[in-house]
Amino acid sequence: MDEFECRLEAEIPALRRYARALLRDNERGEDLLQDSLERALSRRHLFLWPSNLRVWLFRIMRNVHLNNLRTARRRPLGLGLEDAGSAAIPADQIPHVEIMETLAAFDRLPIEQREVLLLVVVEGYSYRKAARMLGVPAGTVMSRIARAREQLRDLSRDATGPRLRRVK
Amino acid sequence: VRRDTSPIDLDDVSAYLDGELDEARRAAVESHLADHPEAAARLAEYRRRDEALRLAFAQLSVDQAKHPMPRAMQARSPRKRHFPLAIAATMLGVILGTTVWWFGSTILEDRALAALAHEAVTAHVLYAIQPGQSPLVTGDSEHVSARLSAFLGAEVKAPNFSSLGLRFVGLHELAADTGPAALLVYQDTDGREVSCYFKHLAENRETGFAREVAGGANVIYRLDEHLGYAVVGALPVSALQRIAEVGYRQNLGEAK
Repeated sequence: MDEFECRLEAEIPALRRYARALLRDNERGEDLLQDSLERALSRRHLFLWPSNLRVWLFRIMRNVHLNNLRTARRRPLGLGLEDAGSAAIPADQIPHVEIMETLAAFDRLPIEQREVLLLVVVEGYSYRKAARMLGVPAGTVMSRIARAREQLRDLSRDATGPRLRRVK
Repeated sequence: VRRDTSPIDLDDVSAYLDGELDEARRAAVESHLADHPEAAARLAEYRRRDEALRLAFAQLSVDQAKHPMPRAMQARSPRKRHFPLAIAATMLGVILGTTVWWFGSTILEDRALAALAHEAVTAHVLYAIQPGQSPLVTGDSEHVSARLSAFLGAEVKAPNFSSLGLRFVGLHELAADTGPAALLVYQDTDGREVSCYFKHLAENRETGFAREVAGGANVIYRLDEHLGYAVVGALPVSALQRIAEVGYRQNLGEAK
């Protein structure tokens, strides 16, 4: 393995997690990861050190994913993450039902909002770095994540069932 | 970073949670939260939903060991075989004068879009980097916009990039294969040229931004309704993207 491959390999865990979370399906996430790695390897001569390899890889993955979406004409997403929220969730303060509710809301968010939540909240990237990965200005990340959180909140509430509603 | 004087909004609350505010703004958000219990409750809910997401996805990285190596790397033949390929690719790049990195490969088949990028780079190399190639239209943006619209036969505003530190140099009126095209040349504070290329199109198409590296410059381009739009310059993609977006918004984006 040369240096590029070593460094690529080191990035795989983060990429794998992102792919699976984005698609909400382990198998399809794995396919996305593999397609992205293939593309990255075939384009390695276009990667210029010392650019940020992770940013480069995320962008490749994102484009592979967007292409898949375009060609697949939106097959329903998020139906196969069978194990999410089950056994592996550590016994934490947040009840299981609330996690599932949040996930259900997450699935209904538009892709731009899911991306930004995954990068900033789950993966912990700064706005600047997420912006570079998404190819948008940092200000866009800021407003997008604010909108995403609002949406997530609204949708999660809907999922919780009827609350007190105003009656005329 | 936001100005300290604007009222606190949800963007701030969210950015506060992510630790993305400067000190002054953070203090402003904190005092806002102290005064507005509903904002504090919202923040608490954001935090909780964030945590739920992290918990939900935390396990996805656990079974890493099941897939130690990507298929792409396992299946690869010895590295040497890649050398002729890489060299061939490089030579091809030299021959064509362009090294193309398509961000969206479906775009590859898109002739109109490919032609736009190619023309924009050619125009940039011929007219922006070597000045004095054709009469330049200069003047204030109203005058230039009027000329531009008349020339293209469509209403186009000459983008103003002064907020990004770009100075307008002039407008070149050009002839592309399919009709009139305009190249607006700007210069950044380091004296680097950035060009905006506009072309009126017969077809009504809409694409997102696409990117390419060609002729030593980055190109960002898109089609929108009857207009082809490209921004070219030897600037980092992120900087150029910002420029492209500003110019786009001034013309076609939210304004419409």
